[in-house]
Amino acid sequence: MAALKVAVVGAGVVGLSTALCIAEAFPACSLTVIADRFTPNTTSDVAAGMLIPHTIPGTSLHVQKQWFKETFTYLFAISNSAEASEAGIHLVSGWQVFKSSPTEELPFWSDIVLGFRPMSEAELQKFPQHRCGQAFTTLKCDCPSYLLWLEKRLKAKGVQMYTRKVANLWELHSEYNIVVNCTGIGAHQLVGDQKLFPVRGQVLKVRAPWVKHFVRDGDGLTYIYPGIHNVTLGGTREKESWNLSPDPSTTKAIFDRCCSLEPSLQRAQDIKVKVGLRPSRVCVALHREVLSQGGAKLLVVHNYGHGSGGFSMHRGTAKEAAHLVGECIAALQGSSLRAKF
Amino acid sequence: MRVAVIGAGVIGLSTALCIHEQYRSLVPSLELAVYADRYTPRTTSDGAAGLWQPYTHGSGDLRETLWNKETFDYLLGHLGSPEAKEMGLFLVSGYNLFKQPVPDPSWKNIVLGFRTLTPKELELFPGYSYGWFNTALMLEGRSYLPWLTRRLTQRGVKFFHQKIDSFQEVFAQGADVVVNCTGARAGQLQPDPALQPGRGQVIKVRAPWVKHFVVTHDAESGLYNSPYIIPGSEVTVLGGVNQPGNWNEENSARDHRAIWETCCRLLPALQKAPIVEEWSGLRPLRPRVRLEREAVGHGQAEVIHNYGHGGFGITIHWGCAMAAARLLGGILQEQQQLGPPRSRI
Repeated sequence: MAALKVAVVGAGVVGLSTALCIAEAFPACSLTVIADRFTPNTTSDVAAGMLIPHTIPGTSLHVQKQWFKETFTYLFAISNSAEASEAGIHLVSGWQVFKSSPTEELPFWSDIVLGFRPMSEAELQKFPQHRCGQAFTTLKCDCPSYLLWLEKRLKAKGVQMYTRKVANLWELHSEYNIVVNCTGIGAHQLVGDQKLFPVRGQVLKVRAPWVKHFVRDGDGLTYIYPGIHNVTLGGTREKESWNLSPDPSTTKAIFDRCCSLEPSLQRAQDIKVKVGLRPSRVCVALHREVLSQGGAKLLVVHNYGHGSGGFSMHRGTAKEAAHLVGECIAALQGSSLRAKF
Repeated sequence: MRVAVIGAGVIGLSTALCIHEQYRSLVPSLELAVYADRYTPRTTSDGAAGLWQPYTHGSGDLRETLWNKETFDYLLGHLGSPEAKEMGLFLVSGYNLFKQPVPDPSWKNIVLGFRTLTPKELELFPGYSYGWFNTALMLEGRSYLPWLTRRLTQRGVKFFHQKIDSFQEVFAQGADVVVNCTGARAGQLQPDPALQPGRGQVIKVRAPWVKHFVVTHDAESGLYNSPYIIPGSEVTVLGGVNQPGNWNEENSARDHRAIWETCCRLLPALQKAPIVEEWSGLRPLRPRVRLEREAVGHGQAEVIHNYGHGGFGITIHWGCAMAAARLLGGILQEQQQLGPPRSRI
């Protein structure tokens, strides 16, 4: 039987990592990535790429922890290899500080990151407006580098990549047997998912190479994440805003909030402003379905709606999506065997 | 009252600044001058990475522990100031690695967040079975020395580009007190068998993904003879050479290979880092820092010695500068008690 044709729609961190997991698990398939945007123009390119997960309300904590652990382990190995700088993965230490005591004493990921512990009094003196905090070491992805690295690995495995705007999944049914929907916020229009909504994030990318630690306010609104080429300063979490244009007064507010956490940022240079729409959902859409019209069928695997947790969860959800693709392959091979009789 | 500081590394310049800050308003006749044959960026302090970290198991000299603490606290206090970036001052965290368990260092409560490493962290460093994690400070010589120079210039301190061959030479030029901050070459002004050069070599690379220092320790190879990786604001410094008695300031190909190989083994992510610079310098090694007064020649000529800071000059500099300034205070007090200033012929 001819090789099965699989298309992954979407080329952000979820699309590319899902494609890679599929290519690794099912090398016999013909795999194509289709997207209207590739790096540096995806939502992932705006993200800081810090591995500090948020708790998703609609997914079991056990599953979230599994996804995060899988992602952390995968990236940890890369960070400690010769590929690290090309893939853009590195360790970074820092502090999460709270003005009022956090609701949960220990976040679910505290035993996955390194060296998690409460901050000492001496450490807290650096943050006079905050009363307690957590110190730990985690991983950061330099997003554009990581996406390019994923693309390179995909090409090495013979995966094709095309720029194309897909208006609906069904239009792919004549060319592909299985379609994997990794369209992030695009799924709102592509599959009409009303449960998916944007959470607008504006960030600044600045040059401040002396900043070696991350600082995050426990309220999630103010954060400083030092990367390879720049430091990401954030941010905002505006639910239901589709506005992709940077707002100047927001820029000033972010800068001021970050400078109050880290005064040396006053000397930051080359300030650039970016906006991304977090594809938010009560739980990640990670399941398979069958589309059919007339006698024709298209097997679809969905993997979208990662909200703030795209980088934190990507590898774990990619592996699960690849597993679902495996189920689709088995179903197709089973039905093709039956067709022979 | 003319005070001449010989040496323009971190010790010379900071001692000059400390003296001027403390005494200029009290002693209006105070005139301060710096004499050196090497200025930034060509001093030993410029080559050093700038990590604040005393020896793991120090001389046991309580004065040195105190001076280290005074320096750390002084710098920590400046972290939030607008000057910090210009000074080359910032926080950095990282790892100290050992091949067997060791007692905690004297400075564990000086730095921030000191703790031992977890098993998962040790997985990052095969070959090392024990270690520490802490947050310390970086003070980059290439920024700090110019910053000190600007502060001194603003205060009217004079600078002379001159090789000094004897204390007498400086006294003859009108100095009342000489402050000897000549580091590794102090022996040229006055023989000191306790002082010897500790030759070091470093490779500076572009590796902005390295956010932590990693300092390894090997009891067999000795101090600073084990790989270390220190992330600066623009370059990451790779090192791990300490050759007592070696005066050679030229880069050695053999040392280059040893540093490169051992550091890349320690942090495989370094393999793709482009090399930007290579440098060798001489640590002023001494069993203890020499920080004391000495009457020289006849009359009231005094030298305040402040040299022999080994590989921890930046770490200890401000505490020593204040101690040296106190010694000068003693001299000033004594000389005032001796009546009106004596005339000069």
